[in-house]
Amino acid sequence: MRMQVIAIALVGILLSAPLAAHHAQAPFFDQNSEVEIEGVVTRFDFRNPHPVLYVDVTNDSGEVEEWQIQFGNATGLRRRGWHKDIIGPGERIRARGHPSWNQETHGMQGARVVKEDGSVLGASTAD
Amino acid sequence: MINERRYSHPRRSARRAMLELLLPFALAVWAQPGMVQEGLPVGPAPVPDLTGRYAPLTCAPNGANCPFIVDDLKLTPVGQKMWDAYEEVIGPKFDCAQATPPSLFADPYRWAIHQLTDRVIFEYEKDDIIRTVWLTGWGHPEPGPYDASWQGHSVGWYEGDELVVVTTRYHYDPHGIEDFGGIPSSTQKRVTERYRREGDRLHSRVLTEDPLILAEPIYFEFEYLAGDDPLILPYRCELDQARFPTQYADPEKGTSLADFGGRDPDLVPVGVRELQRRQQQQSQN
Repeated sequence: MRMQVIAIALVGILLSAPLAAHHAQAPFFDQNSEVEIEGVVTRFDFRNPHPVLYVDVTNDSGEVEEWQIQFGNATGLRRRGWHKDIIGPGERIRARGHPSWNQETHGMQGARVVKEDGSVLGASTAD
Repeated sequence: MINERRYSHPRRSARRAMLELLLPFALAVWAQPGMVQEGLPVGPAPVPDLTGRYAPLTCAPNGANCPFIVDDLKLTPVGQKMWDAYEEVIGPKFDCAQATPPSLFADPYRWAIHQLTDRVIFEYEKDDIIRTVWLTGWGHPEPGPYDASWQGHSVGWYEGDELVVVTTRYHYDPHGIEDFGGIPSSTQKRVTERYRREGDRLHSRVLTEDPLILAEPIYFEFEYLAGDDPLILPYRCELDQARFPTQYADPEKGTSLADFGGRDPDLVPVGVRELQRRQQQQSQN
């Protein structure tokens, strides 16, 4: 279980059609960098407006941190085949996404989550 | 015993025969599709059939200004000051407040139109919104001087193949013009919508006016695709989930979009056509 911070430059222009996220993510998550984690799912809260996946990650110091991966709205995800049992406690995952600004938190948004069987829970719908 | 005098009288028979001949005609003229809904009486005039479920396609034509480029909006000095002072965390959406027009129209959710004889109901997946459009000519009471509401008061009428909806009497809304960037709307907001159906496409034209905030009205067009998929309801916004992202803001940085390049056009979602225009401009520079 490891954690990597990968600084990337935002290249290109965000495309959306149609568009209009419910709210901006930039004040809450650093859109110019990405973080990668590996851990064990403890809970999946599939509710509107922000479903959240909770993951226990052991950091480089051997401490367990709880990370929260925030997805787009549950309505849009349901339309794409998601449901509350699409992922559950005990599953090991890797995830890569934008980290939260607040250094006292461990949040992630816009994540690509890879399950142990290799299947992918893609980046979110609009929030 | 059959009263032969009653049933064989020539004048009565002729009158009855005339009735039996004309009644189906009368019903065919007065009863139109889409009018006899929900058990209410049939009205006098044909109306365009807009009933259906719709998924958002894109801004028209060809994705242009989808729905508008925030930086291009002309704001009044008051509107500009309020926008400059806006912080993302004060957005009422973080307390499950409903989106209102015009932001509501470009949200990526399905919605439905239900046409009744004296009103039209707009039903949205987003935020479980129900908007009632009170059709004119049916004696619906006018709102009182102090009546205002989050979704305002909507009146409507048909013009040819279009449904026209005018909504006023909105409350003040910190993000009532644009909920992504936080441009507010005042109690003077007035939204005029026009809907027309062509085959499986619903065309809408939207004009938003708010003389306190906008120096010029905003106009855009949008297209929807009719389909049979049911709406996924209820949306059921939960307060703790709505406020969830706010914990991730850095208290030292604040949450004004201007501090995060939020006013940077590259970070504001735009339609396909505008995107192509910018890419072309970039390659030329």
